[in-house]
Amino acid sequence: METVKVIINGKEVEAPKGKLLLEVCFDAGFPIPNFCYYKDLPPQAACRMCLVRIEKMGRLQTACTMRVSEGMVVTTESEEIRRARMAMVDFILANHPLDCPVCDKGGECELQWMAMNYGDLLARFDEQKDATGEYPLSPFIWLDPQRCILCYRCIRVCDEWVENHALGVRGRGAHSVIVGNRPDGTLACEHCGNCVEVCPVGALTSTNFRFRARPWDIRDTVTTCTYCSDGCQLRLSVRDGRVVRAWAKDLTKMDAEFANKVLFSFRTAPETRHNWINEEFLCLKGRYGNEFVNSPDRLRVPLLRRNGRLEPATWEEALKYVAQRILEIKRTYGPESIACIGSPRLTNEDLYVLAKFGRQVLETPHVTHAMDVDWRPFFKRLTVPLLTQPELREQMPTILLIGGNPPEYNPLTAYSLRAAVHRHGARLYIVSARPIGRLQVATRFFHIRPGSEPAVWLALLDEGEVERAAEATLLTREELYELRRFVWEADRLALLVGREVTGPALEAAAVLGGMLQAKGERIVRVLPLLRFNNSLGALDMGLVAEMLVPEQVGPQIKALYLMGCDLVRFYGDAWRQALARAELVVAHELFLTRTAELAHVVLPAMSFAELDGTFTNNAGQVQRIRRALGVAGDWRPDWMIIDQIAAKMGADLGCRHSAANIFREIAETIPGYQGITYARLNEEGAIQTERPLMPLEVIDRARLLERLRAQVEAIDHTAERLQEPAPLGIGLFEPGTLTEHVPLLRQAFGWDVRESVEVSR
Amino acid sequence: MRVLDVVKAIAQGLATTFRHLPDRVTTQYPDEPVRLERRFRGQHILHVDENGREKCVACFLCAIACPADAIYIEAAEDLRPYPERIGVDIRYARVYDIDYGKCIFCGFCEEACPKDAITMGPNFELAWYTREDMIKHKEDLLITRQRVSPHLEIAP
Repeated sequence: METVKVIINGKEVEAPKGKLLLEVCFDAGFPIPNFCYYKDLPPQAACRMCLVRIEKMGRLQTACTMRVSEGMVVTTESEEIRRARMAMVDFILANHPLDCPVCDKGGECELQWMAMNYGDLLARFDEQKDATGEYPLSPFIWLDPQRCILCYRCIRVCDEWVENHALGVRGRGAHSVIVGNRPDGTLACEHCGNCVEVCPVGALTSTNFRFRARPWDIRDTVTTCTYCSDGCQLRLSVRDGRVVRAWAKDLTKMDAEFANKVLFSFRTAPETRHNWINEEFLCLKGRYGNEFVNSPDRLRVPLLRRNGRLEPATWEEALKYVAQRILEIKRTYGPESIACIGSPRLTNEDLYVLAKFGRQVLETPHVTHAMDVDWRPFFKRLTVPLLTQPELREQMPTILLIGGNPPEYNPLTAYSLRAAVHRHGARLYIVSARPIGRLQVATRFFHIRPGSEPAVWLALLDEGEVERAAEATLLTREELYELRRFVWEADRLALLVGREVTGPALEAAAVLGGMLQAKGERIVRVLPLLRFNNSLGALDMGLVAEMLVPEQVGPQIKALYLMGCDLVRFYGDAWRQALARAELVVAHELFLTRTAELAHVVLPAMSFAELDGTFTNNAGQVQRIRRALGVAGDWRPDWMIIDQIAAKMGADLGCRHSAANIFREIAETIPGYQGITYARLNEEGAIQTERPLMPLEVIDRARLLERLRAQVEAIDHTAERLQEPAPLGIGLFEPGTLTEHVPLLRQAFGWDVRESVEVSR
Repeated sequence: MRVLDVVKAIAQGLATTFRHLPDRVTTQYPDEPVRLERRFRGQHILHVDENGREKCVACFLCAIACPADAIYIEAAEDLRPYPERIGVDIRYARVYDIDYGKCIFCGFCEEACPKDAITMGPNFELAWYTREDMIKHKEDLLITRQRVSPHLEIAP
């Protein structure tokens, strides 16, 4: 990269040519005050706080729009600049209310910091301020236009990060107001709240955090999101034993003194690195969906079925009962009569202990987890490494997405796709049965017949099949050839595989990368868009047996050990009768779910905010979750419950009372996890596991093509294209087992959630 | 002569003592009111404005200024118009507790308050039988609710 020499305050600095002067100054240790500049967003030059003197230029220049060039001589501190900044602060404060005591931002407000450091003691404007009240823009976001300093960060974030284009400005000059995209000025968007996070003042505030805490009396814990498989990192802020917000702001990009002294003076150690895979992005669920942990509906004591009713019991009673009944059933019907079903939401530690319990103590082959799509053939035949989000954003000039709807189901992936296009002009091709909203940055969009994704894979794998594929997908032959060229001529290719891709097509997705790499020097990475936060971890931990069908329960399966797995909700009402047929149903749950209601024993488990552990995201990256909350109920970690039951059955699972010890064992036994420790995870953030790759020669490609062809034949060739894009919120606004216990989401989307059943006391 | 100096000093000291002997210092509390200076720091008072709206906006500054961590606040929102609402602002303290088992009467809360909503009052009779009773709520502290003890008088 071409570099230039610039002199900043007499210090010679080398910087890449064309980099923003403000960034160069920041890196050189001369932070420049600013409001409207934000990393990765197009420069705006709205606030004029970053004025600097550049030699041979007539006026003071804005550092946030100036790009460095050879021989630039810059002064960032002088009497002239001090006075200019003072005037700018005065100007910004002209209509800013003095309501810091009631403003949510007070204490972490960039304007407060600027006014204290660069402002004058007294304001020179004595005109009446233009007072307006606060009002909600959406159920999640409030606006106080008087506090707004018109830096346009929110608008740019909405356009660039999430492509909602939901915010704009109405009016001119001093009367400019930020408005939403509905005619009445409210917001029709996915309510991700990223605009709230980047707001330098308290103009945009979150409904859930409003008035609940001040920045100095909350404690932050960095943890991993518990929703989709992308695995965003977030800080959970806790006040008084309750989660009050989740946020992901990059504090290292702020003025170090502000970030460390002000934002962290009341909290933990200052953050020196922000190597999060999601940078600063969070989606609706990640930001507003964590308050289920505060829910009063949480199970707090073990429940035991006595005389047909679930009644509170002590742990001792419950554990003893479970151990005794399992032993009885094992003795009477044999070990195959017991099934362990985990949930892809639990930590690796919990799932590992469950698998070990099932195999070693129960000796049953039925150790599995609730899967929506069977990804096992994909990971078995994987020929290229998995794609991480930073790689997707920074290193992949050609990206192909087949199936899936990332903005709804994998919002971070959607963010990374947009970032790849914005940052280095990546070419993004999308093949989908439905137009995807909020991915308009795509270079090409191939609209195929619903369910015909396998035909696209067939055409990509074998040129001779283009004709057949064209017929199945409703694409023209030229379009399919274009897709083939795109894939086969790319140097660095990212393949994103959506959940519509199933069966042999999934295997094809796993194999194609290897075939491309075998053809020449190139790098191919593949990203499966799994559904749950630990879907991949559950596979890794060995919960891989075939999922049971409800008919098996009764004749074959007598006992079900369910860990956080709501079968009735997930697989439908057929499981109601199945559970009634079982002789023993044990459920670990946070809430009394439809499945737990039918269980014989319900054991209250801990949520992700109360646990230590790890999740493995869809790129195979292991990330920590950390305990943010104290104990508010008589609940225990899932692994501990199993360990105690095993102890009652006379077995030792070797948990040794801590998740760290279990993870040590995971690192020793599970392939790919070698060398990963909690200490390393704390240090490095996300660590990608090494997946065993299948050599291309081993794979019977002719047979695979044959099966793929059969799959293509089975496609309904009469189906028409779906013209309507999937509605906004098809994934994000749907109630789930956890989100339906978040009051804010329930109110906002009017979910008609079944009332929890009264437990007899 | 050092002995003489010592005797002189003792005599001087005792002279002051004897001079004040006739003064009546003991107050016959509770039969007679205790006389307090204006700056006396007793039980807190939460103030209201001229229309009876609570002045506190629940900014939590007193809570963080408190060296004994005796103040606990929960803020809430009241979007009604001014004449109907509880506080001067839409933000008000739904819960305002002071734990007199912890409070050290330093007055920092009073100094931190940006709205002059909390001051140290004259009430000094702060003894109760249980720890729960030592935690006083907003309802006990508001100037409209709190009675000034009949056992005190404030110096002019």
